[in-house]
Amino acid sequence: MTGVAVHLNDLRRSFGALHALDGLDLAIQPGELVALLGPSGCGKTTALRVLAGLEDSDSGRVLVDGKDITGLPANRRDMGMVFQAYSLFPHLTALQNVEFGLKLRGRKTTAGRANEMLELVGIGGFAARYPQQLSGGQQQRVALARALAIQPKVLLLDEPLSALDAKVRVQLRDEIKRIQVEVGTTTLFVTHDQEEALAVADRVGVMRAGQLEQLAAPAEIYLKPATAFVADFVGLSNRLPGRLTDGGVEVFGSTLPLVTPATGGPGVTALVRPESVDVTPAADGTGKVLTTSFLGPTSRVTVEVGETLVIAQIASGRVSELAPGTPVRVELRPVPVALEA
Amino acid sequence: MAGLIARRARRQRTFRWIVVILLGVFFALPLIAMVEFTTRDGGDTWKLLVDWPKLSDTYPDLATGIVASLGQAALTALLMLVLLVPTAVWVRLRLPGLRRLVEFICLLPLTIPAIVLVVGLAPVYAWVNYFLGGSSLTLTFAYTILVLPYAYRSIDTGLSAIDVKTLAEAARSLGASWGAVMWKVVLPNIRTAVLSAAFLTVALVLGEFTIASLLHRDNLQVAIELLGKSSATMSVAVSFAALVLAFVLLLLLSLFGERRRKAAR
Amino acid sequence: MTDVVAAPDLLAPQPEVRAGRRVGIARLRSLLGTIPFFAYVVIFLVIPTLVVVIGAFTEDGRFSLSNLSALGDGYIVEAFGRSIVLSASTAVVGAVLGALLAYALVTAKPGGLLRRVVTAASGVLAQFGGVTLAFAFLATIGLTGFVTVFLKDHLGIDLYANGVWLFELPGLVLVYTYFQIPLMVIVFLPALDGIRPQWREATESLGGTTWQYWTRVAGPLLAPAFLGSTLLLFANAFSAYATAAALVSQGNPIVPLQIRSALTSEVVLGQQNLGKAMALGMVVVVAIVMTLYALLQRRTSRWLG
Repeated sequence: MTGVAVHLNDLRRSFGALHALDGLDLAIQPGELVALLGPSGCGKTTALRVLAGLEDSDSGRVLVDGKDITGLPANRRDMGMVFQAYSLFPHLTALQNVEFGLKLRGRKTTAGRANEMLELVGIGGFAARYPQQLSGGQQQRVALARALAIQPKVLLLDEPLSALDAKVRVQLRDEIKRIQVEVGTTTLFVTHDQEEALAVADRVGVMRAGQLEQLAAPAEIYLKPATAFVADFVGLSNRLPGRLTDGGVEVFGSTLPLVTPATGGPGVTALVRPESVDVTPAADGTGKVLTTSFLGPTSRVTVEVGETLVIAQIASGRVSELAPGTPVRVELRPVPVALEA
Repeated sequence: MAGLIARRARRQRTFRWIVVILLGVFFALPLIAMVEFTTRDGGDTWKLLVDWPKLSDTYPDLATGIVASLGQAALTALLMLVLLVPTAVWVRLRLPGLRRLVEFICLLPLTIPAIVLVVGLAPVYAWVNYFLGGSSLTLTFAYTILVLPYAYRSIDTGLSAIDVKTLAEAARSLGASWGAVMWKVVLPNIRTAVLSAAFLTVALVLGEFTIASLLHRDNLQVAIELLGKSSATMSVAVSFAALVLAFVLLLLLSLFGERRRKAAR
Repeated sequence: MTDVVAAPDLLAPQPEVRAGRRVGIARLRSLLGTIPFFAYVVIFLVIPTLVVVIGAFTEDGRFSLSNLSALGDGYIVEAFGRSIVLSASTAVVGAVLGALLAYALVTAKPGGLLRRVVTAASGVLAQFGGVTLAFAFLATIGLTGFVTVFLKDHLGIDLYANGVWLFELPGLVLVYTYFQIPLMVIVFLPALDGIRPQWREATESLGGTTWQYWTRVAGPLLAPAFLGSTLLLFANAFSAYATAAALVSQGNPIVPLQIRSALTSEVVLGQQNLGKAMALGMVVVVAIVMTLYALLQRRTSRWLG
C-alpha cells in the first residue's frame, strides 16, 4: 500500500511560559519515515501527540492526505501508535492485543490478519502469551503489529526503543525499518538517540525549543549541519579557533570550506568532526597526545594543540604509535564545517 | 480550533466536584449534627468535658474509661513494638523461610472477627484473671492480637523500603554484632514505619468496644455506651472528641511521614 | 497453664542449610529469638480459635454435632440471612459510591490538595465505627437528631412516621455505609492508580470510543479489583459488632448480636457452645470471602501492580 502525505503547519503549543511548539512546520512525503530528534523538552513528543490527536495545539493545522484533521478527535484519525512503555493491554494475549483495533471496527474474523501481523514483526509463535510473559523487545513488536493491523494512514512511534536494552534496541530498529519499507506507511519516529535517528530515517528533523532546526537526509544532517546546534547535537564536534578567509575558514593552517557562507569575523569558532582530524607522529609537531580511548574499531585520541584540546577519531590499528606524550602533527581534512554562532 | 482534550478535562473536573460535594455533604452531616447536638445547651457540655476534675466527679465511669483506654493504648503499642519489631527484623535477616508463616499469622486476625475471638478468649482470660487480676489493662494482650495485621504490614513495608538485608550485611561486614545491627542500623531507619504502626495501634485501641464489653472490662467505648443511656449529650460530645483525636493523630502521622520523605530526598 | 508449643518446624527445607552441627546450633539460636512472638500468638490467638472450633463440636463434654444442627434453627438461619443481606447491601452501595469517589480522586492532580484531604479523611472515617459512629447518627437522625428536627420543623416530614427504623436493619444499612464508602476508597484507589494513561491513548488511536474503552479495557482490568474490594467490604460489615450493639437494643437481628446473647445468656445452660458454633459459622463465611479476595488481589497486582 502507498502512504499518504502529512503536513504540520505552524503548530504552536504553550504551557504557561514554556513554548513546547513554537511555529513548527513539517512536511512528510508519502511512505517516508521521518525521525524527529532533539534534546528533552524540544517539543518532538508534543508534535507527535498533536498529530495523533492526543493533545490540542493552540494554533496551526494538521493535514493528512490533503484533509485538514485538526479538529478531529484521536479515535477518528486512523493512525497507529506505539508508545515507549505500557503499550499493551495486560489482560489480553498478544494475539488479542493485535486483534483489538480490528474488533473495534466490527470485523468478525480477525485472527487471520492478526497472526499475519505477528509473523511480519517476527514473533509468530508468541500469539498466546500475555504481555507479562514477554520481554520488552517482544512487547514492542506486538505493539507494532497491533498498530499496523488496522492499516493506518500514519504510523507514530514515540521513543519505542528507549526503554529497551542496547542490543535489543539495535536489533529492533533495523526490524522497524525493514517492516516500514515493506508496508509503506508514512511514519513519524520520535527519539532522543541520534544514532537511532540516523540509522532508521529517510529524513531526520532536528528540533530545538519547539522549532525545526534542520530537516534533511541523515548524511546531510551529519556532514552538512545547517546550524551550530545541529552540528553539536548530532555527533561530536571539536570547537577550534579559526579565521575567516575568502575560501572558508582557516584552522591550524588548513583552509576548510564552509557549509553555509558566513559574514563577520575575522575570528570565529569552527565545528570540526573528530573523523576529519588526522593525527600523525612528528617530532616537530605542534600537538601533544594527552589520552587515547579504545572504542573497538576506532579509537579517540585527545591532543593538546597550544591551549586547545582536539579530539581525533582514527582507526584503532594506529593507536600503538600514539602513546601519551608523543608529539604529533594535526591536520584537518577539507570537509565543509559549520561555525558556532 | 477544537480543544477536545481540554473539553474532556473540563468534563472530568465537573464530575469530580459534583461527586466530592455530594458525598462530602453526606459525610459532613453527622459531624455537624454532633456539634449542633452537643451545643444545644449553650456549651455547658463542652465546658464540663474539658474540666477534668469536675468530669471525674460527675461521670466517674467515663473518667475511669478514658484513663483505662489511654493505659491500654500505651501498653498495647509497647507490647506490639517489643514483640513485633524484633521478630519481623529477625525473620527477615536470619530465618527467611519463616517469613510466610509469620505473615500468615499476622494477617489471621483479619479473618477472625473480634466477636469470634472474644468467644474463645473467655477461658484464656479466666487464667489471666487468676495470674494477673481482673484489671482492664490486661486487655492489652487481646488488643495486640487485633493490631497485628496493621502493625505488621506497616513495619514490613518499612523493612522492604530500606532493603534491610543489604544494610545488615554491610553492617556485619564492618564487624557489628546482631544486637548492634538491630539497634544502630535497622531501627533508626524504620522510624516512620514504627511510628505509623504505633499510631494505628492507638487509633484501633481507642476505638475498640467488642472485646472490652464482652469481657466485662472498662474502656473508653464501653464508658461512652453506658453514658449514652444516661446522658445523650455528653456521650455524643465524647464521641466527637474521640473522632477529632483520631483525625489529628492521622494528620500528624501523614505530615511526619512526608517530612521524613522530603528530608530523605 | 498451657504448655508453650515448640517453635515451628525445624526441619523446614532451607536451600542454604548444610548438614553441619555448627550450622544447626546457630539456626536453633536464631529460632530462639522468635519464641516470644510465637508463644504469645499461640496463647492469645491459636488457643482461642481452638476453643471456638472444638467448643462448636462439643456438647456436655463430648463430641457432638448438636450445636451445628442447632444452627439450622429458624431464628439463627434468619440471623445469618439478615447478616448476609446487611453485609451484601452495604458492600454493594459502598463499593459503587466509593468507586465513584475514588475515580473522581484519580482524575485530580496526583499530589494535589483535594486528593490528599479526601484520602486522609477516608483513612479516619474507615476506622470510625462502633459506638462513636452509632451516637453520631443518633445525633443526626435520631429521634431528636439535627436532621430529624430540621425535616419536621421546616419541611413537615416525619422520618419515623412508620416506625423507628434507625434501630433496625435499615438503620444499620445507612450507618454501615458511612464507613464502607471510605474503606472502598482506600482499598480501590491503588488499583485505579495502576491504570496507565497509555492504555486509553492506545485505545483511542486504534479507533475506540470512550464507551469501548470502558467496556473492553478499563472495565475488564478493574473488575477483579472492584470485585475483591466489594468482598472485603462484605467481610468488614459481616464482622462488625460494636455499631450494631450500640444501636440495636431490642432483639438480635444479626449474627454478632446473637453471639452476644449466647455469651451473656443466663437463661439456658449450654448456650455457650451454641455461641461457639455460630462463631465458627462466622469464621467460615469470612474465611471463604477473604480467600476469594486474596485470589482476586493476585490477578489485580499482575495487571495493575
